[in-house]
Amino acid sequence: MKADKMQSFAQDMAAEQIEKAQEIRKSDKTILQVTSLKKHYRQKNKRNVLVRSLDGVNFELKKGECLGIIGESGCGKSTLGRVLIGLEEATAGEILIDWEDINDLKKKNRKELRRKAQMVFQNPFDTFDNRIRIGDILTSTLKLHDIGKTSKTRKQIVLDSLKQVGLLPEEDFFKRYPNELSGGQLQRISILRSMLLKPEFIVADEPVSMLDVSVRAEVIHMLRRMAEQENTAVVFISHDIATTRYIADRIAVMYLGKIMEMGTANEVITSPMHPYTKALISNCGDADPRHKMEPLKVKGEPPSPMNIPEGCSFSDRCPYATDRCRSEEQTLHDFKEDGHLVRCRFALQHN
Amino acid sequence: MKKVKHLIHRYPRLIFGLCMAFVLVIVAVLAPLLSPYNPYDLSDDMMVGPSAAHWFGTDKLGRDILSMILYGSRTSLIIGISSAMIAAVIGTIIGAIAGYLGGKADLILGEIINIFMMIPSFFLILIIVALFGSGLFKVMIVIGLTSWTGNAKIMRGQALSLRSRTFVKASEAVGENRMKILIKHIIPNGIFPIVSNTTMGIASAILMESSLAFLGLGDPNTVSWGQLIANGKAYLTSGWWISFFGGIAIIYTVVAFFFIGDGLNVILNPKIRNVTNV
Repeated sequence: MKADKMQSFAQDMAAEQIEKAQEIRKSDKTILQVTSLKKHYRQKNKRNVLVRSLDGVNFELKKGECLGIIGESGCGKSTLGRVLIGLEEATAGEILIDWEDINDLKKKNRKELRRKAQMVFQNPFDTFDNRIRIGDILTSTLKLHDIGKTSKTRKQIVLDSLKQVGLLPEEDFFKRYPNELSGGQLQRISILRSMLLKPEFIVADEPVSMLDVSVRAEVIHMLRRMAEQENTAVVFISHDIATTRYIADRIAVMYLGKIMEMGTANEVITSPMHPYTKALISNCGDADPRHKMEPLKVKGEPPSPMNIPEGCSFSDRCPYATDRCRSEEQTLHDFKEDGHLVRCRFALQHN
Repeated sequence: MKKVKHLIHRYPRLIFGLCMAFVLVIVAVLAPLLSPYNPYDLSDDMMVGPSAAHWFGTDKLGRDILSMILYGSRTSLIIGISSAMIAAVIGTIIGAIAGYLGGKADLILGEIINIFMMIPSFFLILIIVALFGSGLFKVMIVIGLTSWTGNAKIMRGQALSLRSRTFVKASEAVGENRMKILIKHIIPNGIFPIVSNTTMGIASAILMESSLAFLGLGDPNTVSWGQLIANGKAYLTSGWWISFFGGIAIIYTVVAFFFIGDGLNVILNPKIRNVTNV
């Protein structure tokens, strides 16, 4: 009797597990795969100097996942965002969106690319043409992509979505001009416009850094909610570590055009393995004033991307650097075999 | 009445300029009715100063200056507005394309602009007039075709700075095609300096026509302000009124169009519009 029960229970468990696994596999669908992506610029007056903004970036993004990208100014975060949605062309490397090459997509059907990859910009005050009403901006986006048959249905779609994101009264917002709205409202409309196309992934390039602290949470919540609703993947670019930890499932830390460390958000923030990540996080403030912090001091400034040091790019500032670090480049390596990638040969020794 | 007051309060320059231009247009249309004399008629009252019979005096041939100015407004308005418009349209399109597309398009169009800038337009006009004869229409077209370079340079600069603005990038990211962005965002947002430059263009076209008239290459069968000033130049010390009133008429026209341009600028740009509302 008891054994029977146990058996059926075990069977239930097995079925449940299979179901779960299937679900995971379904959600495991890779939406964006980036392989050794490079973006180099040449300076206008000095043609022989190469600015290596992106220098071999690899990652993949699964459906509905949120990847946070953090790093200092000038580490190539924003360049990555622009290249990812095809606003700028990569120098080398491959971007696969839904297993299709971005350049093929661009050539074949530009609009389809736009429907798959969208972007939310940093400056909400400049994201919209001040001469055009909010309603016209949103409906023209729908019209461009043949969503909604008549102008009436398009208007209804826009009104509904305005209502959904809490821009009430929606009729009123429909008629307003962008310069009459606040930064938070504009950024919500910017997110809304991107999400109207139901993209596969959305690049949010510092979407809240220009907003008042009081409205940041609201905008972040909205972005997350909408992304979850449509199962849209998000590439969240920011220099704000706390915000990124809050929204992101995984975090990648960038330094001079390379990913130095990548793993789940908690893992990277609570037990960083790369010296650079450690320094970055230890210099972050804590809400608790009693909590004693000892920020790690890193000497010098980040070198210019025109002149990246040989070997490990962090070697000239790293407190643990050895001669080998300065001559040999290190690849991203999964030391603990748990998906936590680190680009440092001493990642295990210093922990 | 209240509404009119409100409008004047809201857009004082535009309303003022429009009123001035309206008067000018009325004068041009009703010139035959308003003029006390036929401007082509000679009389014995030569070089008479302003008086009751001749409000603005007469010139060396005894023609009534007031009548000549009233009739001259037709010539000046037609030439000024038409050629400035031609210049504005050509300059805006070429400049916007060069600035927005950049790269090779910019290189080629930029050189074309430079070539047209290097051509001394006044002598080009002289050659064309000498070859094909003078006429209101020809003068108008030629002035238009040679004076668009300034507009093109301005528009190119505008497009260059607008190109990197977020809303242009955002439109690209949403999937708008470049031609549409050019028409929908670049030109409307960059047109304001062209508007004011075009009002200046009207003034310079009027002056250009005057210069031609001064050299005797204007249309001899029409009266124009330029002709009047040129005629009066020799008599500045003894008969100031001949050139003076023609000059006043040109200043009046230029000011009118400047006010219109400035007023339009305020209306077309919501940012300024809202500041004036406060």
